[in-house]
Amino acid sequence: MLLTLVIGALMLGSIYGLVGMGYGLIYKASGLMSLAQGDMLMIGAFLGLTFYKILGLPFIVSLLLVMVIMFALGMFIERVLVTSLLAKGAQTVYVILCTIAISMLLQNGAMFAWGSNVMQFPSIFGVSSVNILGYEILPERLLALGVGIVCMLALHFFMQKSKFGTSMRAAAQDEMAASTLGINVPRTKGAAWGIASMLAGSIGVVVGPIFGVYTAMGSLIGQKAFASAVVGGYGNMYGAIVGGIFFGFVETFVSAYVTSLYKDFISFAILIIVMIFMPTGLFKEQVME
Amino acid sequence: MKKVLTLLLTLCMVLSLAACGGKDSGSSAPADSGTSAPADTGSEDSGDSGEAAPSGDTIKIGLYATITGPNALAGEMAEKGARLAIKEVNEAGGVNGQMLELVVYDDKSTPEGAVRAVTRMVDVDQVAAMVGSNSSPNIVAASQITEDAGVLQIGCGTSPSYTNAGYQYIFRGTANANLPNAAFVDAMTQMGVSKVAILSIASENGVSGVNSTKELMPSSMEIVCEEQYQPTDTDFTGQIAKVIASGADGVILYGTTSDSALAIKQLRSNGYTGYIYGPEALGVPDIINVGGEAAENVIFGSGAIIPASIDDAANDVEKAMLTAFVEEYGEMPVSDVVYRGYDSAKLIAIALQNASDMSDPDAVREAVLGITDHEGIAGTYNFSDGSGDGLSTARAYIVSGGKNVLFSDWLADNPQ
Repeated sequence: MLLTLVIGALMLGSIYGLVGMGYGLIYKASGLMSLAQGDMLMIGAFLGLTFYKILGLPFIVSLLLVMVIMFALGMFIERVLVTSLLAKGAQTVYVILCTIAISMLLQNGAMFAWGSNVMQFPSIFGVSSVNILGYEILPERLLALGVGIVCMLALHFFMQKSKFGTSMRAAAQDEMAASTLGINVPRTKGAAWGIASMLAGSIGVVVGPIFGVYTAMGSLIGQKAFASAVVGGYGNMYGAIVGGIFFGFVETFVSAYVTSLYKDFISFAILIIVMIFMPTGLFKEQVME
Repeated sequence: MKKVLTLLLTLCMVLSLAACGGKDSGSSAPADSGTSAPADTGSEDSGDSGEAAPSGDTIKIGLYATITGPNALAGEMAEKGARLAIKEVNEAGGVNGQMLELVVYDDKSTPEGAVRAVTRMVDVDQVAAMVGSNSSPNIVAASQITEDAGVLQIGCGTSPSYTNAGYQYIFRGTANANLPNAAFVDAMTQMGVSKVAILSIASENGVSGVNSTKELMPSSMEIVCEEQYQPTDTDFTGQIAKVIASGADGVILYGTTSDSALAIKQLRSNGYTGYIYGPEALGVPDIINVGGEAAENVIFGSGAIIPASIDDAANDVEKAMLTAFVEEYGEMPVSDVVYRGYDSAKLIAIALQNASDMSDPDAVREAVLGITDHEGIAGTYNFSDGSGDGLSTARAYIVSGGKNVLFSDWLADNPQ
């Protein structure tokens, strides 16, 4: 039982963490907040389902296609919608409102395109479960965990080692200075939004076979990922991962050993306590503007 | 600046007042053409082709169902089923030589909508009898209107709430929800289950369903684990780990269709290989579509289900009805609510036919009570006990080979 729970918790944690990293990335790069991350996950899941099940493409191709499309979608939202709002002198709160509107549009758009029923995402692997130390584990859970770890590492090296990653961090620290050094700041902002939605979309593809695919699948995951980002220190990528895994463990173990009914109560009560006593999160990130 | 703002605010207020006024005049006259007319005229138009043209000689039969709203699919099915039944009755010569005419109203999936629709049917259309909604709360909301007017109502909802409640003119044209529970508990007994784990949704439906199931369980069954989940939950790892660790030899899953499908998949992927039992929510085709292979060996109780093909129908009435349905609409029905509409409309026709005086409420009630062996789709109806329920058993089914199979047939082939 314990191993099943630990793997379940790690999987949930990497989902929350990856989606939460998107929140952090967007905040770091543009000082804004997108509340449509959960729905990006949902759109990714639907796109993955379309490529993999309906068009019959290999899984890895479907995943890569989804990543490309989701990146473009995120970039589009920032470059076209958010930028034009900011150009009109809109305040941050309007941008947040705009992302809530986008979230609704995505949900209803998905309902229009794919219907409101839960759709089955076929298994990616031939076997229905693998045996680890005597426990039956769904291979898709391990895949979700694997994709989570790979994405986190890839993002870490991209941000730390690549030139574009470095310019993104520079632009986040000081826009003006970065511009004077020849960094294309609008492009780095757009890329940050693109990467955030790409992360959420790709995790959507891997959770599809576990959770099923439906229009509301992203809303609660999005909220918990947001909470993870806050607990970890809003704006800190690594904090989001730690926060995500923290929430994954709290949720899974509370429901197994304490109460399955009120696990969300406990998770979100912890969120409020963290916000009161540690407003900068576990990673001491400056959130206040 | 201030002046402009004040002007704007005043304008807003005037406009909103005007809007309120408009709304009031509409809702204060529920029987007025404003609210329920679209569904009404639409259905009448489409009905004309299949039925005799409405004239002074027709008998009006009402129907209200969830034609729009969250349960729109079910409402549409109730209407199509009733329409088919009325068509068959008319083709066979009608009731005492008079043709039946179906009048359809949308209850908009709300009790208020039902009250409006039923008021209109009773006062304006003066229907001889009506098929009640597939939503039980809507029937309960409108019950007093038909009781006061003495209009026969045969409902399509399954909730136990509106029968055994002392109503004189309200009956049920499907299985009471307690029956599917009894059917799957009975299947559990036959399978020799002794240790039960219950996983259910934390909502009215789940709580009341689990309570009614517990009352039905024989003392030989011990509940070793009881877990709940929230309607919004997607991951049941914690609960399922407990269910499996409890060593239960049968799991009861009491939820709605979509979360049940998810729970079935997760039960299987976490290593539960035994049988899963539950109510009619597990009998919707979506369970097999979404759950795939994981749905094998799911056993559920249900009044009637839509079979995979016409040949798999549970009885001859169902087979004939499905054949006629496919001929009429070009496709198989998508929900068992279609059977409820069909059975209810047929029962109404029989009652009106047998009543000594169609316009006398008590004669019509006597005629319904006189129905003791009508072979409907959901089973043999017998209303003689006056409780309002006509069926006393529901069937149990098992998912086997990707299809819903009658549990009794399956058990005969696979003795335990």
